[in-house]
Parts: sequence; C-alpha cells; structure tokens
Amino acid sequence: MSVESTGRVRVLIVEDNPADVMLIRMALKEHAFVCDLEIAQDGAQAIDRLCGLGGYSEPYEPDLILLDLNLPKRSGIEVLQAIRGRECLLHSRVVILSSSPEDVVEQSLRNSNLVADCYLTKPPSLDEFLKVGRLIRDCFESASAR
Amino acid sequence: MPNSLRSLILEDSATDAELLVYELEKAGFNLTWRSVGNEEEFRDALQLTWDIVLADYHLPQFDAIAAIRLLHDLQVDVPVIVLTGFVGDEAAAECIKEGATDYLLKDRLARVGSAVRGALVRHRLEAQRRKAENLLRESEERFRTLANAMPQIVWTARPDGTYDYFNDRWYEYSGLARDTSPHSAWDTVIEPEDLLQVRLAWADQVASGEPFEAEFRLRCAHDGEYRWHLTRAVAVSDGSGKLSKWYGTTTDIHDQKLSEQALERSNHMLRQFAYAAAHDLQEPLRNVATAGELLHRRYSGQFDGDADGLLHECVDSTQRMHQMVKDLLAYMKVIDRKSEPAPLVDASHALSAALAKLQGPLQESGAVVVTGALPVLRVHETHMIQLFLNLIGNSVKFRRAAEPPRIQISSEVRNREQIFRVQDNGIGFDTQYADLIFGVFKRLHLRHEYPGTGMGLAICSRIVEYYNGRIWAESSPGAGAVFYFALPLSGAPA
Repeated sequence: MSVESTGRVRVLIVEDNPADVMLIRMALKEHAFVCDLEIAQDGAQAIDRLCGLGGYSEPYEPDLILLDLNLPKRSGIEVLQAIRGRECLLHSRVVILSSSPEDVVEQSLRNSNLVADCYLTKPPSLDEFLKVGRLIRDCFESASAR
Repeated sequence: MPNSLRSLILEDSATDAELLVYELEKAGFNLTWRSVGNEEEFRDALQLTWDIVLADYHLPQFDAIAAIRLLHDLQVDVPVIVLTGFVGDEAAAECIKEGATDYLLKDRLARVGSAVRGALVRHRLEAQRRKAENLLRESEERFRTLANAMPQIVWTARPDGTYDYFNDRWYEYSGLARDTSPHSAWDTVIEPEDLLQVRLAWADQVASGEPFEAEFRLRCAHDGEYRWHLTRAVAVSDGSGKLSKWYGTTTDIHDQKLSEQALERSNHMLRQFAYAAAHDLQEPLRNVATAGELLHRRYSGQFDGDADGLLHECVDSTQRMHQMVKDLLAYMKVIDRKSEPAPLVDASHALSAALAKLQGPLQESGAVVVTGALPVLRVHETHMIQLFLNLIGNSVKFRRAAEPPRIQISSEVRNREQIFRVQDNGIGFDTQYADLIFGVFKRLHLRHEYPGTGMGLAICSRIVEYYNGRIWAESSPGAGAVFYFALPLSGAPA
C-alpha cells in the first residue's frame, strides 16, 4: 500500500550495533534497494515506534522490518511478538538478521510460536555481508509477490 | 514299609502288654519290645532308642500324661500312643494337648497296628515340619544378623508392597521407635517433596514385580537434615514363580550427590559462559574484519605497502579468529547431548553423509575411497558424521602432491570394542607427534601450507571420550597415516 503511494519501500532496522547499521545501509545501497530507512536501537524503541508509543506521535507501518534478536531492553523475540500482535503490520515482511546460525534462530522462534519471512546470519566478511543486501531484496520481493 | 519296630510299652498288666505284642506282630511288625510298669523302669528304658511308646492312660503311680511330660523334659523325640480302658473326650483332648500322637481304646486293640503306622507317619511329618521351621528361623536369623551388620538401611516388604522389616540402621537413622508400624514408616521420613513420586514409582514396581531403583531424600533424626539416598529393591519369587518378598537396601549417597550437582552446575555455567563469550566475541570480531576490509577497499593505494600489508594481516587474523571461535563452539557442543541416550545408527549412513559434505575436495583431488562393511551401533549420528568428516577431510588435506588420495575405511570388533580405521596414502607425520595432534588448536604445519585451526582431531577426541572410547594414530613421514577410534560396545556414555 505504502509502496504504491510513495514509490519507496519503508524499512525499519532494529539493530543496536552502529557498525552493523552502517553495513546494512551499504548492503541495501549496493543492490539498489531504494528505501526510506528508520532505525530503532533497541527492542523497546522498536515497539514504541511501531505502536506509536513513547515519544512517537503515530504508529509506523513499514513494509520491511530487519530485526536483530540480541537487543537491549526488549529482545527481538518480544519485538516480533508485538509485530504479530498488530493487525496493521500483517503485510510487513520480517527478516531476522542475527549473528546466530539461521537454523538455531528459526528453532528458537518456533519454540515461541513465531515465524519470520526470512532468516539471515550476519556473515564475517565484508563481501559476504554486502551480498546480504541482495538476499534481503530477494526475500522482500518474493514475499511481496505471494 | 519298615517292618522292624522298637516298641516301649508302659503297662502294669502283663496280659495287656502281651496282647499288644500279639496284635503288633499280627499286624506284620518285626517287633523288639520292652514292657515297663513304673517311672524308674521307664527312665531306665529311655537309655535305648525307641520308635514308639505305647502308654497306659491310668497307672497307679506313673501314667501316660506323666510319661509324655518326662519325654518332653528329657527331650526324647518319640511318638506316643495312649491306651485306655475307657476314655472321655476331655481326657483324649488332654493327651493330645500334652503331646500324644494318638490314643486308642483297649477294646479296639486290633487297630493298634494301623494306629502305630499312622502315628509313625504323622510323627515323621511333624519332625520334618519342625526341621523346616528351624531352618527358616535360622535363615531368618542369619539374614537379620547380616542385615544389621551392613552399613546400609536394609528392609523387606510383602509382595503387596507393605513393609515388614527394617534393620537397626533404619531405626538409628530415622529415630523411629522399633514398635512404629513399619507400614507407614517411610512416609514420615521421606522428604515431602519427593514423597508422591516415590509412592507412585514403588506402586508401579510392586504391580510389575520389576526391580525398583530411586533416589530420594530421607530425614536424619540426628540433625533433622534431609540426606539423599539411593534405594534399590528386588522381588524374590517362591518355587511356583509367585512373588514372595521384596528385599531392599537404602544407601546414603548425599555427599556424592551434592558433588555431582555442584559439578553439573559448574559445567552448566562453564558451557553458558563459553557460549556467551564465543557469541559476544563474534560480534566485535566481525566488525573489526569488515571495517578493515572497508578501509582496504576505500583507501587501498593511499597507504604505503607496509600499511596495506598490516591491514591485510588484520583482516586475515580476525577471519582466522572467527573460525577458531566457531570450532571452539563445535568442541563445546560435543557434550551438549549429555542426557540423551544414543540411538542405533548405521555407520555407513553416517559415512555417506560425511562423504557428501566432502564431495568438492574429494572430486578436486581425485580421491579414491574404499569402504569395508560398517556396523550399526549406539552413537549419535552427528558425532559419527563429524568423526568421518574430520578424519577423511584430513586424509584429503594432507595428501601427497604427486598422487591422488586413496582412503580406506573399515571396522571390526575386538575385545568388546568397535574399532574404526581410516587409512590414507598421504604425507603422514612423525610418530613423536601422535598424541600432540589431538590437542586443542594443535597443528604440525604452517598455516599457508595447510589451512585450518587445529581443532578437527581435538573434536574427534572429545567425541570419542564422550563414549568412553579411544582414538589414536599410526604413521611415519611420507608413509600415509592410519587413524583408529574405538567405541566400547556396552556403549552408554558415563
């Protein structure tokens, strides 16, 4: 909906590590993924931003949420629970981008009865990390095409 | 039928005595006999051995009852038949009560033969019963002496699970009075938290008759402390296969249990620490690596040659450290499955999985893999795959330049061990390093010659240790290497 209206994908990056935020920006740019980016630096801020709580005057409905799991204050799992609990976020794609292996992440989410659209592990090298931009784009496009 | 009969007759009438002898001989007995008329003669006759005493109920000084009592006092074990001219029911009852085997009216003397035979049989059965009772009493006494000499609590229960005996240790430990009903004794001593579970488990075992084993806490009367005990019980069947008794021991394992728990806690904390450290260390490491690469990408050429080299070294080292942390995590993970019992796994499936993962290097090197028959055994499949993966991976990695690797994998049973063998035709190694190579981060070659963190064989060694097995290697430089690992067939991890 918002994609059509503005022509740009709205993305929320939930990530406490500024170096990773920078890398994600670069990776998205590398693959010409043009988007409006907002950053939440911890789990609590992410929930406030999405629900229009705290200092935020209105809720945010991003098309894509890039979610780290190991976050200050509220964990990524709690953020995902909040996302799944909001009807207006039903169309939002959620990509988990964490430093743990994908299968471990997927299992720990499944234990909490949660599913994400895509699971990615932060790779240890720059080249690999930049490729993550393409994976995110592919994941978003294939999920949107469904 | 034994026909010889030594018969002592207590009778003051010689006619009656002769009549008895006549009837007994008529009944087919080959008779040795003596007739006595008073106590003195009776005592005198008891120096000999008699098969039967026939005693007149009513004599002037010394009657049948007195004779029976005398036999009892002198502990002479012989059946007595009381003979009487007329006898009322009460007198007969009195005779039997005093220990007579039978009584007979004198006008029925024709029946004395069958009465004697009956008495002999009854007496023999009675003697057997007494003997069995004595044996049982002796065996029970022996059991109790043994039970009381043991350092453990010893107890028994009836087939329905109700307790009927505890040794002294129990009363010392529990502080219960000896007249406490053993039926409810446990309930007052078992830690209330454990009680329900123990009761259910005991009820299950009583129903099935299978051996019982449980660990629970018992209150020590001395200081009120609940101490961990291991209780074991087995049901014993009688000749017909029916359960006759439960025999149980209860052993204080408190100190052992506490140190086990402390060890488990400390291991758990260590694992958590290792995971947290490894995981949290990865993050900045990754950032250093990517920042270095970014620097290199954006500013390469603007540095001098040394700085480029240093930067490269920086990135390279972080990548290596990343791999080391990953391998350390894999090493830690080996014991993660501590409590899971190992399933039956076909080693040839594990080998196929390992070969599939090594497909690239195997094809590139033109390796030939020869596999013998492999067993099905109790092992976690991921462990088996990891063993093959590391050992075969090494065979490919440490191959000779001139020759494609030839790798032979086989297995055999020897001395209750399943021994696996991975042999190659590679560069081999000096035997003096045969133990060193299984150490954590141990390498024999420079990194640029053969890459790797030196964790592969350490992980293998840890896996094998998990099963109480062994791993070793034989080689000499240039002659290829043979790696062996042996897993005990009884199999359960300690």
